[in-house]
Amino acid sequence: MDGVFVGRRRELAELGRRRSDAAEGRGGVVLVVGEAGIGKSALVERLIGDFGADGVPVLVGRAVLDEGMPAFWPWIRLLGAPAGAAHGLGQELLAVGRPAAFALAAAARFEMIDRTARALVVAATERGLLVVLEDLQWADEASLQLLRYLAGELPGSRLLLVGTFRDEGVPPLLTDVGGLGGVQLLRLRPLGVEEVAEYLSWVGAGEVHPSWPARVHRYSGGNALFVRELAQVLITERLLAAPAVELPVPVQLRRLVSHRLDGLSESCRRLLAGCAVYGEEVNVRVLEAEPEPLAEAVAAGVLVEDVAAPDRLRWSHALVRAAYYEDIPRAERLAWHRRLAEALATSGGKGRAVDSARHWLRVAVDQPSRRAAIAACGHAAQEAGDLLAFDDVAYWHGQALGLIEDDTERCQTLLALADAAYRGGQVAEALDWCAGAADLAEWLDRPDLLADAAIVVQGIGGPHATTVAQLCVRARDRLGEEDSARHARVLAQHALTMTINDIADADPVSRRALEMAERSGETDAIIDAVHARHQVVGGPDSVEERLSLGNRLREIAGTQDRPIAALWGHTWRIDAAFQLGAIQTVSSELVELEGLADRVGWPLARWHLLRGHASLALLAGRFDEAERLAESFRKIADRTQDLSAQGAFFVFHSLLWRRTGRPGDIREVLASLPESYVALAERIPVLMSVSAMLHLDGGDRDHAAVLFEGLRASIDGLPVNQRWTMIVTSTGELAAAFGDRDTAALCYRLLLPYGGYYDNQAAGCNGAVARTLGTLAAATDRLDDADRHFSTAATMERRIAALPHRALAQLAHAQALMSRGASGDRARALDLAEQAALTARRLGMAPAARAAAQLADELAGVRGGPVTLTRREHEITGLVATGLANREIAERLVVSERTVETHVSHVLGKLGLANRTQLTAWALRAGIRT
Amino acid sequence: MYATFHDNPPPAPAERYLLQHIGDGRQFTIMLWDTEERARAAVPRADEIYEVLDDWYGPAAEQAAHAASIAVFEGPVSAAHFEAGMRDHEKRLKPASATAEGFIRGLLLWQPNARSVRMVATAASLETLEADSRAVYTTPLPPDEDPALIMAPDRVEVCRVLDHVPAA
Repeated sequence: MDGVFVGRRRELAELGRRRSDAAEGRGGVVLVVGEAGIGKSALVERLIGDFGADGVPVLVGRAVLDEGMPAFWPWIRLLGAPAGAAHGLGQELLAVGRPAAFALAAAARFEMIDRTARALVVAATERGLLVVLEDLQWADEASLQLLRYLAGELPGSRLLLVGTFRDEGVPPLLTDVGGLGGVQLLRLRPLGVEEVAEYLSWVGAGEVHPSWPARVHRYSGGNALFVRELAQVLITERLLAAPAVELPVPVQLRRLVSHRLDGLSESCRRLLAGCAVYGEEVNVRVLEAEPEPLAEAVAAGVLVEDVAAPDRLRWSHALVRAAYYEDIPRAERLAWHRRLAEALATSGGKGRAVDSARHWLRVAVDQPSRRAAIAACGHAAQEAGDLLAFDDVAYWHGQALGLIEDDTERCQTLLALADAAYRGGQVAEALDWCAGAADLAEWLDRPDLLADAAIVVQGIGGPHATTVAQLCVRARDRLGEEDSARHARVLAQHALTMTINDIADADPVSRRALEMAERSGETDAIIDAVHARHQVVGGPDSVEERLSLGNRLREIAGTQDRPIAALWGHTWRIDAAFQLGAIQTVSSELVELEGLADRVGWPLARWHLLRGHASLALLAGRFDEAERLAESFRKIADRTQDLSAQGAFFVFHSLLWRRTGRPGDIREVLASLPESYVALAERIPVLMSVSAMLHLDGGDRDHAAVLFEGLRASIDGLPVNQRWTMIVTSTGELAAAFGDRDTAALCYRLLLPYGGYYDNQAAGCNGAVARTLGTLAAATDRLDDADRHFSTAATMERRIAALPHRALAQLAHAQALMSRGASGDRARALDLAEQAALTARRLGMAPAARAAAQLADELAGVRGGPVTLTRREHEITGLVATGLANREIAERLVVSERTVETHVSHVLGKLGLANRTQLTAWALRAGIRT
Repeated sequence: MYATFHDNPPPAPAERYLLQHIGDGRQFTIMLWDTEERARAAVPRADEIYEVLDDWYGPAAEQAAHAASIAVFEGPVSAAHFEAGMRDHEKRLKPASATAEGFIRGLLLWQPNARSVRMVATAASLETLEADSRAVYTTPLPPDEDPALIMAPDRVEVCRVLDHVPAA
């Protein structure tokens, strides 16, 4: 309050503590909340002073109320400040190179956020850093996303972030931030009478009659802004030293402000009118303000200088500006808007296009001004697009739409609106705009625009895919036999929607799309067509083509700057190579993917990389490593709020649990399924199959049976896509477990052509299809076939060093041989079960180790188990298993050899074993060690 | 043409190679048959009959075979692997072996039930067999062939050729 600061001792103490914490590497976020005018900014100013005194850099950004402000606005301002540049920061952190292809806008936005957050933390390393964000209640969503993300990065840093916001109209995202762990809320209460007295004493140079503090406190309600304005009136009227009287002016702020401005010169008042029209912040060069009236406004405390930006001023309080704006006559207001619109259009700089558009819209009253407003909206949309702020892009196109009269231009704007809505995640809205554009394009007989309407929205499933397909049909009808990149993209889009909707005949459409795209030579068309083709040929039969499509994208990425093509190329090839068991190819693709992820920094690329490595670790039985990697890719999925990535973690987590039995409580695994997927897990086949196997292995057979019923009903007509193998193998395993011979036989027939492949993917590895074939053959009493399939499975797993799956194949093989009971089967089964038990125990596959050990015991005729042995017998058994003779054991335990012989004999008797060899084998599979 | 493998070969008139494993000294015979019926009569089960997909000769075709290698690809070889393997055979392995000094004859065998493959190569000596193998298998893949699709054999058996009885 006019450089005078009173009260707030508790808050200052708390902020002081946080300042010390940050200096010692325990940074964090403090949000100061309170009603308008309560004194949040004054408190923060005080803190800024303290930090400045310590030599700690301070960066300040403010959100503003003006409509259409660019995304990241407060961050852009603070990053661009000289203090930021001195610490390696800059506005370019929040710039994106090129519009993201496919629907990667969210990922690109996240990358910008991640990059900026990391840069801020690094900037704080040397001397610490205070970041202040004022008026967060007006912040755009992107800014709040960055704030939320940064909040998670601050513990362990030397950065303290202090935000202020009013507690009315708080955006939900800001409420989320307030609820984050480690984020502290400081709520400012109204000033007390003593604090008002202290303030009046300061501004009145001690000549304050004691009756005034209580009076001012009552009128102002302790609101600091009102106290200040009232005090100003009392000083002007020379009333402070005398006993309190009824206040001579109304207490509404608007009137108070008017009262304060009464004493200003006419030129200053005119300037303030321009400032009020300009906005919360004012660039004096754009305004072409004379220095004298400016200085007068600053001296009067109406405008405040910004130390970091000498050409910029801001209003002392938004309420003051609002109060002033209302009093400007309409004609004067319009004149100022036009003048500012013209000045801003030519002044350049971040945010200027938005400012210009905002003012043009206010004065679009005739044809020329409407054209100017439309053009300005286009520039503003472009500026918002550069920041991936698609809501803002849509806003500006929407503003322009209301002014456009030409139908072609209208159609193009509708398409731009559709594109912005789609990229902003508003699919239904985007399709509405597309439909409108398509109607207009048909009326205009413009197949090119109709085609554009068909390809705006991509990669969408469900009922929306049907709408897109209808747009494609309309476009194809008008495009006829045209051989063009545009037509190729429509065909690709149509093929994609047909695949998503499981409509047959997508194959020739996607083939034609690819041929046409290749003929056109246009990269975007080729990428779209390759993508569509990859989706169409997702089944196990087409693995060779998928590898080749991946290669095609890699070729494109190699010659043109298309990292997204490289990303898809690598990930498709990784999945295909997993299916083939070509582990060397998986590894080499992962090496290249790592290079790409390092280069582009996309979380999505990092996520694919971690997922691929996790799958390799799972395949090889390196479960601890797989768990760590899975946790890392889960964090990325959580941070990017990517639902499908979160679903992928659930699938992987389930597979890991089925191998290791960790964590002990299956509910922890089930809880990793994103909440919005819970209902889908009972309806979408791939999730149903994962969930059913999880419940089956977890002992909840009833739940597994319900899911199995759903799967069984749909298995025969299941679309053959990338998920097909996993669904059919799981359904087959469930059929075997529930004794459903018909379904087992059906799954056997479906899977038999693919016995040379693996049900392995980057999403998780489930081993050779041959193992499932063995299980299904055994379930349908084709035990000779089962014998053959399990042998094959073990060979295939050995080929790729997939020890866990080899152990599972051996265990299932042993069970099948025991069932068959032909000559020599029992001995083979025992051998296999022992091998399975040893491998499973060594790798930490608790469920398989238990099952294999039990089976081996049964086959070996072992009675009882480890619990039947005494402690001494247990110890001696472990020593026997290490290969020690009785004499050596006797020496080690300091007992007689005879005693050892007796113990060994007792153990053999208890377990029903014949000799030391059998005892050694039993001890090893039971995990008995010395 | 068809091929069968025997520990104790039947006395039927057919071309045959009597081989001995270098490692354990075990002997066995590969018999080559004109028709599937004749092959069928020589083995108890149909899944022991191999189709001869290719039979080709190298620069030492006129010499007597004293060494052989059998590259074994256990089944089931997937469709994708099989097709790529056949391309690899035609474009790389066969041309390379056809010019390898000391290479006598190659037989590419396919068991359709088990979907397994065996590739038999004969040479004038163990030394030339080794040199030929090195020459063939170090020939780079054609640039349009994807290494992900090329399987390595599950094992390679190296044998002496104790006897070769040509077709009558």
